[in-house]
Amino acid sequence: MTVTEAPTTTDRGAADPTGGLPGESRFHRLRYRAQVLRREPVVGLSIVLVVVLGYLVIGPLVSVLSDAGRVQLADVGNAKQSVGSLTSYYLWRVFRSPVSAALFWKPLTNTVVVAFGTTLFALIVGGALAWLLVRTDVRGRKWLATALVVPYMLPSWTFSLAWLSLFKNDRAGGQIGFLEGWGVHTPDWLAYGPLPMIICLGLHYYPFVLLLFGNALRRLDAQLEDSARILGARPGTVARRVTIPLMLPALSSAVLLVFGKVLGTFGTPYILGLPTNYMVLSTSLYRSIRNHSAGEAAVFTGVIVIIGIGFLLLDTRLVREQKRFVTVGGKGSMDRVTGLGRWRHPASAIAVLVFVGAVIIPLATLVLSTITKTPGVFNADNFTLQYWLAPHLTGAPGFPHGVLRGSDLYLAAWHSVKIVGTMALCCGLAGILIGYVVVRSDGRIGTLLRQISFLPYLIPGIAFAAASLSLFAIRRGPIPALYGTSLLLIIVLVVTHLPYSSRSGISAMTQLGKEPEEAAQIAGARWFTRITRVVLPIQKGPLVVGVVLPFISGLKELSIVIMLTTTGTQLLTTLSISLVDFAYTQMANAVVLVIAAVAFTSTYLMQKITKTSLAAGLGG
Amino acid sequence: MSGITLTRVSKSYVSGLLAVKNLDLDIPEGSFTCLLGPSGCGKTTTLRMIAGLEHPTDGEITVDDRVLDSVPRGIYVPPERRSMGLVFQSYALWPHLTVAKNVEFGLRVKKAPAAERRARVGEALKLMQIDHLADRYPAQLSGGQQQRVSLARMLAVDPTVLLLDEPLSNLDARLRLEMRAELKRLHDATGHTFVLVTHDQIEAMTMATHVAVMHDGVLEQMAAPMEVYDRPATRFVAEFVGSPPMNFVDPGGSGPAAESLRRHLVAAGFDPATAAHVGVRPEALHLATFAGAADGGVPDGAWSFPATVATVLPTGSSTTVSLTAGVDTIFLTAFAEVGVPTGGTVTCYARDSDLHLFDDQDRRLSSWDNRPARILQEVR
Repeated sequence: MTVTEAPTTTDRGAADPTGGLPGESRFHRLRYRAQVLRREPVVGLSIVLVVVLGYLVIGPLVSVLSDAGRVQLADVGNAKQSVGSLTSYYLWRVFRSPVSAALFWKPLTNTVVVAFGTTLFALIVGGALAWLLVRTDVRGRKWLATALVVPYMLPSWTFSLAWLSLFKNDRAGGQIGFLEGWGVHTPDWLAYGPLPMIICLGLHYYPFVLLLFGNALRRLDAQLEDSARILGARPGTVARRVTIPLMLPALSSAVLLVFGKVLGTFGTPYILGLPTNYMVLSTSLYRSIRNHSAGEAAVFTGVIVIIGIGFLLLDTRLVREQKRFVTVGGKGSMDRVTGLGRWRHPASAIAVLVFVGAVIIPLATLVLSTITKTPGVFNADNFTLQYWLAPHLTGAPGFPHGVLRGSDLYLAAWHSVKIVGTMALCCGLAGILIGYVVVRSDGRIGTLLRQISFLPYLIPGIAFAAASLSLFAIRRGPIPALYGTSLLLIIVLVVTHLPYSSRSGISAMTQLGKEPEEAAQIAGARWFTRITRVVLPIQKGPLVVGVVLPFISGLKELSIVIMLTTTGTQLLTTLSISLVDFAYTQMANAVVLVIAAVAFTSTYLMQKITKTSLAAGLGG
Repeated sequence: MSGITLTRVSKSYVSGLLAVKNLDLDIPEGSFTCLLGPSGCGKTTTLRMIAGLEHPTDGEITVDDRVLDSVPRGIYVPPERRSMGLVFQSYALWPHLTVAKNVEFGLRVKKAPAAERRARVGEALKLMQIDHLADRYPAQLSGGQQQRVSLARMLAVDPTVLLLDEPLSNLDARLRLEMRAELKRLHDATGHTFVLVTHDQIEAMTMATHVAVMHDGVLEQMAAPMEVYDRPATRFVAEFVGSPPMNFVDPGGSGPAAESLRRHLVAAGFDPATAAHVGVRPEALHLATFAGAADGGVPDGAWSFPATVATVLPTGSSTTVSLTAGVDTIFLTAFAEVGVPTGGTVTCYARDSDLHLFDDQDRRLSSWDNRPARILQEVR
């Protein structure tokens, strides 16, 4: 068919291409395919990733569900069946038995109450602040926008320790709070239980609403509102008929995500619920794990997983349904602000008050509590640095020296850095690799990988930790038992942070595209050269972010860590909780201040250096 | 210098989409071949298969006598061993390397000695006239400069074949003109086989020695550019190449143009049922006279018909007139000023040698001049 032949040629309606028998041509295709696979490591890599991640992500869930339906060693007597046989004993015990009210139904109700209250609190505070910051001329908008998200950078149970330092009464062991110190009796309902939990969690989670809702407000096309105004609608009508309906997706997302997060939170309910035995699902799960009731724990895990997945599926569904009327503004989404007039200063005062209540008061309280012997007494002779610096502390046999003395804090910090650092490195690399495979492989295997790596996002970390305990409790085939090892902790932390890392890895690799690597391939570079000389150097920035973000979040992580650490390896977070258990208030507060300082500084530095915003890491 | 042969190459995707269907293509050694077609016609897939970045589901690809892909024989040579060059539409320069390092990369992975690397990089940069940019990073370059770097990067390794995937589509009009001349110069200077993918017919017409027109994964015609223009093999080629596109009138249709054409064909001894579609290029259509005047402007034996002027679109060097003749809308290009008023009635005509006849399968019939003895003889 060259030009020298017939003047014109057509190639329509040609005969069957394969000449040979159908079976033979299929064999040829497979043989050719095998040749291609041999030369292209992407496929092999994607299969390895799918198998490994599949085992680490789906394996625990299968294992924990199977535990819930099989007799465990400790319960042979109770269930009157042999070990490993199928049983409904645990379901019966948790849901229908005489003890199930105390064991399950009460904690479930409590969880719902706390989650509902927290969501409402976060929604009101966060929503109002979002509107003030995005749509009004409130004073100091820029400063407030940064200052008001600080609570989200602090470990969530910081607030509960501060709360106890203020309101604790003499019901539980350890030091009383400032108020009692001043002679004001604080009733139990104010000191412990649902009310303080709601306030403390609400203060931690309102920035979440603020960011989600604020971003949506910012993207809203102001022309949509203008059109309604021009057609004669009054501001109230515009808000009711245009703005709020358009904000519904962001709103429902914020509600469901906060609800889901509260469901899996451990520190706050543990600290504030223990004195009055106010249990929620996460603390119940913790207790049954500590009591070695594996079957019971499996049922709890199953319930938390199902509720967690349910909420997130509901969220995706709502978002998808509402997507059809969400308008992402282009040109029209300009910075449109409402003048507050004489309300401008009072509005700023309210915003500043929230900052004071959510950041200044808790941190000041914690700091004061660590440098006073008797709570709430601010005489010169009551101040001391002994809880930080003293080489010997009498009356504290479990921790007989200042926090900064001895090796405990440093050892815990070292463990934290070692374990969380390893986890973060793995996460960053895994994220880029997953992104690489998703971009390079065609279609189905990439989608599968994307879905598997996203799955842990649906499951509260504490439930995932419990499920992993069940999977790795015993040796399975070539995989040894990992119970109580740092390796298990690292694995679970990697998997639970994977959704964020893989998402950022996929977006970084998608943005880059496959062409730079293909160009290297054409230029004669083999796979390893292409990865080390082209792909990784170009992705240096995203790789650093993909390591630093999980690192910061891992430093603050408590729910997962507390389920998986044994007393041998203390991390900063577990050290703080064990000091709470010892009722060494000053030292527990001091350790949480150290964590807060580290978490805040590193977040702040990273935002400054990489110019990313916290909103990007929220996963909303 | 190498010729590329594709034998019965097919490519289907997991989605079931058949991108390339049973393609036979011979790209002569040292040619500048353009794969031309609308988006989605399989031309980029074909190019990427030649590069080894996509894998055919069937067929064979060879360069000279070296088999690069053969599904029947189970042979696959990975892209890094094909010694080809590929210039991407997005240029795909490595942003973390300077221009010089970008160009040097291929030599480095081939472990060429430092002195040779330096010499070849300098040569390639000089050839593309960008030696003064050697220490810049890609982000500091304009689109045209990036394009030159991406060419230099591929030329440095002295590829047997240079593949170009819509290399000019991201450039502005002026730069595109400049780069066309540049690519033509490079082809002459290097003597390599160039294969260029484009949907821009002007690119194909101006640069190529051979044009392969593709449509729906099928090769419609492979010929020299003017051959494709003068003797389009199929109605698709006829309509795709040329701007404004070729006019088509169906002799079986109604309206003054169709009816006069039918009479004209019968008078010349054609069966109007065989010549189902007749095409005429806008510039081959002429205005005879305005209504009312004698038909003195129509040459003897030419096909003529009356039409109404819908719009007149002057472009400076030529004027395109949009005409209505019954149901047909017909474009006419005149190279002189046209003084016809909108709404006026005119007579147009075309010479027999300018009529393109296609059968009801849209395949070209033999040309007018060879009538009527070989009239039913198809081209292939």
